[in-house]
Amino acid sequence: MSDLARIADEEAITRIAHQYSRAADRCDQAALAGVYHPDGIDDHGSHFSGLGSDFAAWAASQREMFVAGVHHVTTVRVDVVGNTAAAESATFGLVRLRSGRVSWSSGRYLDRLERRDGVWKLAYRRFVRDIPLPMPVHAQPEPDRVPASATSRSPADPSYALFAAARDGSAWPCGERGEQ
Amino acid sequence: MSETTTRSVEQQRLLDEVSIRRLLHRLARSTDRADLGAIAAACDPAAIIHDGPLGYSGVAQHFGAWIDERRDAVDAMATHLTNVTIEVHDDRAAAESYAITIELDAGQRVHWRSGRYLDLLHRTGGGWRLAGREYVLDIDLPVPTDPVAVTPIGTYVEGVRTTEDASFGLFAAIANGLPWPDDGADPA
Repeated sequence: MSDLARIADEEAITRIAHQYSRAADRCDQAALAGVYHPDGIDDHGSHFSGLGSDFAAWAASQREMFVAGVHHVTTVRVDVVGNTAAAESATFGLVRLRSGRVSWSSGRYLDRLERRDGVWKLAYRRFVRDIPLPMPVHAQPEPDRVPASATSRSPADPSYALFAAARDGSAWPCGERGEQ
Repeated sequence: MSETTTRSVEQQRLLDEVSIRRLLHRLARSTDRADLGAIAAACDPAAIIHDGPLGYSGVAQHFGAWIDERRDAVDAMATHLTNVTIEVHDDRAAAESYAITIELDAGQRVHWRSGRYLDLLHRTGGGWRLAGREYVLDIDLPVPTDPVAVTPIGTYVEGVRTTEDASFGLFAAIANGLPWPDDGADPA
């Protein structure tokens, strides 16, 4: 395998890890199902274990549980062997509960990926939690201190408008002056 | 489409994504270090920037000067970019960057946030440039400062929000073929 082909495979597989986070955080069922092969399995322990497409439906059904959720992907190792790959992605997850409290955990995704018809997707994903850490109750947020757009656990999130604008060549509110 | 053409399209996409990710990382470094020249180089001067953690809303042309005027309000800023999703469409691209930002303000309070930068980018003759930025705040979590926890244990090189930061010495030394570190601390 050439260095360029190896880098392209590693980038494609890392992209899957990022797409998963984005889809899960926005409760985007179709996008989340799209990172798994049709027979791909997701193993979230006692929370869920089964087909990736069913996991996507289950995850989307959890929309109202949290005000916000984020899955930061940090350290990634990818080993490619032909049309199969192993990947370990360290993840740092945060959720803001409706009570206002925030909990976070540090864990890893252990992935077996397969390239079928030239496309890498998840064949099996298992989540491993390393450190659960509820935040202290005295750490309260300071709302409105920072000028920011509102987050949403749905396609109403502002990020969808950005990608649509880039795709369609249309104006985007924060774009260059000429597109205002 | 021939295999050769397919490969070149894939290679171009890879090159674009790596270039855009590098731009975003360098812009994060530039804002953390208040490196005004590097900020200007990364942005279209007419780009509209809404940078939540730094509190700036306006055109990129005045972003650097605004940071410069507020140097004393922020003792330290660290922007950790994690997931970056990029879509390239010819000479336009969209990028969503997850970011953990940690700010130490002048009152020695720590502000810890998890949010996302939404960026529109344009390909120019000089490479990709930021054409617009919006910030989405997902979780804002001021962390109480524990005096015990911040008591220094041992000695570290301290980061600063200027081009006097140690990282500039590293890059300059390598660029000029000079030894680094040059303070006798190299264990080799």
